[in-house]
Amino acid sequence: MESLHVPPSVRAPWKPVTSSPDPTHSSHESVERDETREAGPAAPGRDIEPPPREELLRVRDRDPDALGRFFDRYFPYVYGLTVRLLGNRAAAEDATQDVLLKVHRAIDRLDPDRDPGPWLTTITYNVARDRWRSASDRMERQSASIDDQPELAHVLRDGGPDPEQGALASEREALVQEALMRLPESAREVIVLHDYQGHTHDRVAEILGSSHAAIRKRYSRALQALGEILREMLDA
Amino acid sequence: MNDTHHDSHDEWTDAQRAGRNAVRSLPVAEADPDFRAAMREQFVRGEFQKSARPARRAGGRRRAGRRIFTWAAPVAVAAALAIMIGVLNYSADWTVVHAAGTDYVMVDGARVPCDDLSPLQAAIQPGCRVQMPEGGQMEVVTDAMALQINGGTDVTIPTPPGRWFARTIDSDVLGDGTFRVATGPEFEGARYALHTEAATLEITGTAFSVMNSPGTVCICVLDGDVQAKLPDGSTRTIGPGGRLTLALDGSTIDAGSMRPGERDALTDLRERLVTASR
Repeated sequence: MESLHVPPSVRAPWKPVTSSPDPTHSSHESVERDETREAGPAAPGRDIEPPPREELLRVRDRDPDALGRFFDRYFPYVYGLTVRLLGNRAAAEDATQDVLLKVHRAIDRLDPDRDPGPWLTTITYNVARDRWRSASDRMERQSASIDDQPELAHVLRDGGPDPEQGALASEREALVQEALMRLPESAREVIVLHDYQGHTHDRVAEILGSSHAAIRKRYSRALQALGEILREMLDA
Repeated sequence: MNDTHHDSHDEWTDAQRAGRNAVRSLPVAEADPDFRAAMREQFVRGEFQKSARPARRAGGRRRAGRRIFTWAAPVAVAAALAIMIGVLNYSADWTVVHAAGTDYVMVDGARVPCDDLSPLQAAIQPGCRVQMPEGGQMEVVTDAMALQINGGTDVTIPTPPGRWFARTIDSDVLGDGTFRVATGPEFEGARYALHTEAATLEITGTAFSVMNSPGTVCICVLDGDVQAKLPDGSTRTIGPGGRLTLALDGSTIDAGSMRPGERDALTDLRERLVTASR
């Protein structure tokens, strides 16, 4: 098995709202470190500091500047999650737009004392799941092309700063993404939420509406299947 | 496959470690700058276009507009007629007749208390996704069929079949739990495609159950036939009193007769379908 390594670090995906009046708020449970985060490379899911309470109040009031900053803060997370769950950039773009539309419609119900991260994750996951089930998405997945890998397309078309390294990285990314897409949806979702986005098993269980024990079990089986698929692909 | 929980990383297999490291080594997916800019503008303005993809140029629209005006009246009449027929075709919505449990059921991602009928009734709509926690149970009925959703089940509620057309419906069931379906006389002529992780089941009128457990999908049929379309393109028919257990790749693990307990549960559901929906 080819080793895929990045420098290890431990990062929680969500941070508490800085001026929250209730520091024991349940939404902050997801910042607890997960024991399985200790070994191996960290999840690529980025650290996202929630905006201060005053900023979230402005977002809730649909202040254009605050909405813009809110978008800048969370868009990469939402887009990244849809790409990894759907495996297709065209579908991910449509799904991201759906997520933003749903968020915008519900923004006046935003709780300024809660980190909006878990809420966004749930919306994103549900939209991706709906698309995964739809016939149109199945057709798009069948017709995925090099345009679904802009980095690779860029390297091949324009050379890029280091074509060889860039192409290798893109090939590796495509390989892992392809392996993820060969997994059943129920397996893919637990791996992406835990290992790509960096959510704890408790948080994954909450998002998927399952128990911690069931998610741990599903995660274990899913990782085993993914590793075996990767091995087959590398041996082929 | 190792089913143990891995609280210690020493217990992880090489495959698991490789899979985890591969995913964690994926780069953060970068969006196309034009797409990101367009999304930012739409989000800030609150005006979302129909598609995230670039819109096509509207060449020749003025001439087309005149033609549209000429045909507007008959089209409007046809549309009104179609809407009227569509409304009359629409059968009754789902009614929640039973709900139990101490936890929360997730309906389209929103938490609803398991044992509170009123908010559940408001939340259950055709096409909604229901994730039932362990120990929970809910039963919903419409004119043509009844569904029983048990703990651990993750199911999409189908749109009830129309009275005259749109009588082919579908939904899917995932999770690790039991999902029971019973159809009534009004279902005659309709078709229900239920997607499981191992096969797509086609039902034209029966009472049956799908029992999902890790790695397997078990289908039990009380009467009538259920056609199971397998991933390899083949079809298996499960007849009255039959049971078929499939692995997730569609291969057969076991086939035989359904157990008495499951027969009783399906019979009970069918009997209550008659009393609850009439």
